[in-house]
Amino acid sequence: MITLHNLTHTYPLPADACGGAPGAALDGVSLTVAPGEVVVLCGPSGCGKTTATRLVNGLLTASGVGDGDSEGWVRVFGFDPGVTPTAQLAQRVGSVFQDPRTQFFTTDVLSELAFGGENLGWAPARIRARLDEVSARWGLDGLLGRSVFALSGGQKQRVICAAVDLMDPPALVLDEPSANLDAEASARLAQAVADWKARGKAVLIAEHRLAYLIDAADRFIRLEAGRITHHLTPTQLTALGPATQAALSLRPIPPPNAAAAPKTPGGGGGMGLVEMREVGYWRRVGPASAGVGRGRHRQVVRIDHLTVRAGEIVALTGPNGAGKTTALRWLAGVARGGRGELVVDGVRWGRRRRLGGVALVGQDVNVQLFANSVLGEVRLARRGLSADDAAAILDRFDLRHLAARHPLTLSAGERQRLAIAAALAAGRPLIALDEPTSGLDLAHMRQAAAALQELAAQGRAVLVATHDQDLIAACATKTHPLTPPPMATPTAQNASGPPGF
Amino acid sequence: MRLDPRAKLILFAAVNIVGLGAPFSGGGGIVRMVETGLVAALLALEGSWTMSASALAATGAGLAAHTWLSPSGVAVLAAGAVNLFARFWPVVLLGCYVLSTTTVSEFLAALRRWRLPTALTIPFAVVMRFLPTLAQESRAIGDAMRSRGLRLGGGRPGAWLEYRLVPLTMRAVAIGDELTAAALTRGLDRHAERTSLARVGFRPPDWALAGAAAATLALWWTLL
Repeated sequence: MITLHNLTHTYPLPADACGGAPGAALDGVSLTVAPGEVVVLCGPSGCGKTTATRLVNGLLTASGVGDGDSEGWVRVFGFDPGVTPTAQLAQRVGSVFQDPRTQFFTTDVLSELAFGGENLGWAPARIRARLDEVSARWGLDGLLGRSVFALSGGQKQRVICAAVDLMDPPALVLDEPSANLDAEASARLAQAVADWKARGKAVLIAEHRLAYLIDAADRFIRLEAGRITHHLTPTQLTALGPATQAALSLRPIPPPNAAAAPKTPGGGGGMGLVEMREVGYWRRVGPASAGVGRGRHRQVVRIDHLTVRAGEIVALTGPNGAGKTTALRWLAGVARGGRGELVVDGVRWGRRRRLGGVALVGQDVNVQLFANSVLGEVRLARRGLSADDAAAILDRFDLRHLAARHPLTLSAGERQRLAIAAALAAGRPLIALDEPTSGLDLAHMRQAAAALQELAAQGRAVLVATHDQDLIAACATKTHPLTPPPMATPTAQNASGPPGF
Repeated sequence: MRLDPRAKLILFAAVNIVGLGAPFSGGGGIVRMVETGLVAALLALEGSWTMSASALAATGAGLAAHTWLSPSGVAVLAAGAVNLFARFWPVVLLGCYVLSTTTVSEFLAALRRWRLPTALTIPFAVVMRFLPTLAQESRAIGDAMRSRGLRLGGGRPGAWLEYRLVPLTMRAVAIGDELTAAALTRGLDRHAERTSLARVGFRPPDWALAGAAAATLALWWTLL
């Protein structure tokens, strides 16, 4: 049983430093999750759902230096996570986080699975027995020897779930676990959650994407500004309808049919037709991280023919590991090598031409904002861009009021829009974006969609790699599904034990 | 071939001492050839032929520069550059070898055999995990800079350092936080006694490697 009783938590620092909203991050929240129950916390960014999960798994303590003031109390199967020693707490609450890149503590799958048991000081024989059990349950037999750097996002998340399962905690806390997952991996994550539920675990999940959990969840609790506003059963949530869901800033359930809404391309002008022909990309897939060891070359991207016209927004879709990111990196001239050609209005663009002619907005905007003000960021995009023109561009993306702020102090949604604004300011005919809405709530996703439409309206050809069905429904004029090259996922088929991803 | 992390660490220490310290003249040259030969052999055993060859080439160039470049004029600068590269390169390659072929678990288990306290070994393990992740981030920043035409600072000389370091620092802090959270929620505690699945222990190849490392140092001692 996870119990939050009249819990209030305030961060001592301004909101940006902790990623929460200003004021109390949690304000008098009471809830319980019984064994065998799945409760989903939802609501707009900064509503306090992450704070709630961190109070349950002990990363935030209800009292203590530097962690803000907290009233009320939390109990996990009778224990106070704030004062329980790390090792004991790890046996009671398992945690899965958003970013698969930074959740691995070791560098290979087997060690990662064993890590928890080793930390608890279990005998090797006991760890091995548990390891056999969880790797069978999670379908990991084909992955055990692999380096974590060679796994797809979905595979990483599955390994983390299994590693947590190895310690067999009665309570589980997941913080936006699907943010980097494709539809199929999300569905399998939902199966895993249902499996935990069937085994009597108490499961608490903070999420923006709700549709994949609709069958597994027992209750949805909506938070806003740290307070509970709604308790909903899955049936009640679905019955709200898209308009009410949107008013509550919840992603639509059931999800919109992405293909059902044809949109007319935006204004023309500039350049007309972009074609990718016979593009293939191979990468050395080595066993190790620092580059030593036998590697083999494996095809990771294959695109036979893809067209984008000026004013179009083409969604590049496909499962984790289909090569979407690499395809965009090739397109933008950042990735060297590969085969095939990019033809723009009948002219073949070589790598240098692509580097200067394609604006790339990468997956993590935190590593692509360089200036020390929002206005400066846009002016940095093109030499000689006047402050007035830059301000006009900020206007289009609803960023003008933030012109003097440092980019790194903006919210995630604002940073994403700024990166898109800078891409427009660069004045390049083709703009490629990689997963621009992962981890964004409904309002920010809508704003990102509007920003993409603005790019198209300005006569740009837009290619966006995304898993986000809501984004596709909101703005894509066409989808281009990418299938993994035949040899690209040799282990995906091996991974079949229930519940697999 | 799986080697005990302790044997690798002993070799790493020896190669550092010889690689950075030994001269290129006389007996120093012989010691260097032995040292580089060991590094090249290990890399070749892993199938990294290019790296293996580059270790030999770097040391060869260092010895050649020492022998044939006359110590005058521009040649001094060139010889200095080659000398520096020849000193560092085998050490860097061996570092990559150690990181690539040692899992974090093996490393922790091996250091435990040396009876080093957990409070000392866990930071080592964190660094082994942190560095490759930070390298990935650094590449992403480099990509973004190139794509935005900021590779050389975008017209502001010197700005490229700022463009590179500010986001990298921010990411380093965030990665540190997230890795810590992942480790804590899975029970990593410096006060607790850990066990390990990793099988470590000295076998004949490990003795041979540690012996070779010691011999290199001894050779240096006798030849100089």
